[in-house]
Amino acid sequence: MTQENISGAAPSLARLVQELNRLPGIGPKSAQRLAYYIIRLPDDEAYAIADAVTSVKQNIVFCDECQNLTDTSPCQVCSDPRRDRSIICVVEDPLDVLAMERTRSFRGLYHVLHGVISPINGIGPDQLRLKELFTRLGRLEVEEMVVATNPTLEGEATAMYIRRHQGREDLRITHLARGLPVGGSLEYTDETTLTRAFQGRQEI
Amino acid sequence: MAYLSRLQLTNFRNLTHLDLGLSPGVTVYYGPNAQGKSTLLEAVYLLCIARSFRAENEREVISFKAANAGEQALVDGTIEKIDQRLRVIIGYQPIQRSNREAETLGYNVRKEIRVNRIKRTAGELVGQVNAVLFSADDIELIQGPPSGRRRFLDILLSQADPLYLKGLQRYQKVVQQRNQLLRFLREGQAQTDELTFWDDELVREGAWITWRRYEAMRVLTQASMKHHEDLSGPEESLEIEYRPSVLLGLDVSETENNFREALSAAFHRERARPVTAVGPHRDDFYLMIDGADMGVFASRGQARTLALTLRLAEAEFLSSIRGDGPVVLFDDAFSEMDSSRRYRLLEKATRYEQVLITTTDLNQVNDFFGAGANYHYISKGQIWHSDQNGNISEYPVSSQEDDFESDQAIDESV
Repeated sequence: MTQENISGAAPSLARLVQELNRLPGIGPKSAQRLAYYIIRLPDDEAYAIADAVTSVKQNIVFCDECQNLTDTSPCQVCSDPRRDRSIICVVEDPLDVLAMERTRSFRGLYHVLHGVISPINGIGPDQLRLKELFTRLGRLEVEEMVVATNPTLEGEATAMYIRRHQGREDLRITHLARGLPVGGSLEYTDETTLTRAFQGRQEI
Repeated sequence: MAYLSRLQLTNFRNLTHLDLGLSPGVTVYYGPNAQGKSTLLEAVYLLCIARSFRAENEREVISFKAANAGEQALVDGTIEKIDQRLRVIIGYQPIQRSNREAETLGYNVRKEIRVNRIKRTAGELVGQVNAVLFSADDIELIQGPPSGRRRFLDILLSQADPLYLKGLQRYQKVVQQRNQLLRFLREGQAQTDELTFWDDELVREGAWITWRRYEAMRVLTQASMKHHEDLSGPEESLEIEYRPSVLLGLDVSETENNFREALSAAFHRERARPVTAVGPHRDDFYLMIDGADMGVFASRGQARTLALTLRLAEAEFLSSIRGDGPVVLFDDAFSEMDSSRRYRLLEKATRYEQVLITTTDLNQVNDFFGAGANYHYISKGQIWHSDQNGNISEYPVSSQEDDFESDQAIDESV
């Protein structure tokens, strides 16, 4: 179906559809819709998209410190003197930093791993920014490390690996609480989550 | 109480449009082969265990024509329970593979499960309504490889307890990850200490699964012995022995210790051949009559009876744990069975609230049920009312009208 439609389209259009189709979450139909939308855009708006793609590829680098994506290294967070340098939060990817920043409740430093340990996906410790993390831990005066990987099997594997290999004895290592989503209800919570929430119950 | 009151199928294999009312009690579907009888039961079983029991790849369940036209297949069932009505819809949407992957396969499917309109995972659906399927292939439970017997235990325990399915899924993921890591280790692409986490998880989840299976096997064994005696008479004495890959010990923590020891003992084997060598994915159970292993020595008739025995024990287990159901399904399960054994089997099965039976030969069931069952004739994907003697109504019950509100089950928005 896709191929017929594409073969009926002009080659440059077909190429755009194909490129969009490579994006995650974009199937062939969405790719076509987006491509036709782009064609109908005024020239400057369409070029703005192309320019944004080019610019992001040219300017984005990894922060030498936290490994987050940034225009300038060190990044805004790492170079901000107001950040709390006694605590560091380890996350799987840059989107997690954005999520944590939205909370406005964490004012410490970050470290972005760019993935989690998952042998079936060919990702071992060496494919993650772990060496950088361990070097930083030796250098920085952090007192606590919050390992904020996702509560999945792979996230837990990564957290466990970090705990065993971080090499500092005085470091407090924590992970995020497992439990009920705020605004959720017990009735609709799955058994595993509810069990963990119960185990992590707190005084009121 | 738990029974299926309505079943609507769209593009499900050769059943392109079917809207069927069902009632408690016994319903017989008869007709020649390859007309949709098994497909009907496949759909019912799918609503209960969230997976097709026939399809190697669930892609197969979309009728060929529908898949080519990009249309979805839907299984839409209404289930009456004591305190609520459940509407379970399972949809399969064919998705075109992107061009660079286009091979011979052509398409994949996206599967979506909704219970009372809310999107659910397979794990959340399983256990809502239970079913037991008796089929002609059950003989494989006795004579086939251990994987079939493990699957039997897994489906049984998953239906009885959703936590089991969760644990099992996690365990299987751990095994996959661990196997890949073992491969990397052999090629020198990983360090031994990377195994630690996966070993811990393997042992923890594995020991728990082993115990759950052990407990279930004890109950199943009792029930099986009784059913076997009822079906075969007291001359043969049946024993069932659960043989876990890891020694059980007295409690879960002892099993964990045994598991660890077995794992270290398997160190060299696992390096030579990089697959996880011990654990519940290697379990089996043996059926023995008068001490003889029935996996090897059963006659065809004995194997059939033993398979039925296990299914009856499964049904009893589920109803004792859940207090309702299960829906009992017989898919062409009466061949090669003498009438007295068939009677005793049907006597036991019809104690359950809803029993759906398919057969090619009406005479295999109407002698037992007489007018005490509903009869339907299936041909070419259509269904007719019938009486016990095979007199068929003039018009089919399955409608061709296109009035399915469930057609919107999978929304197209991406």
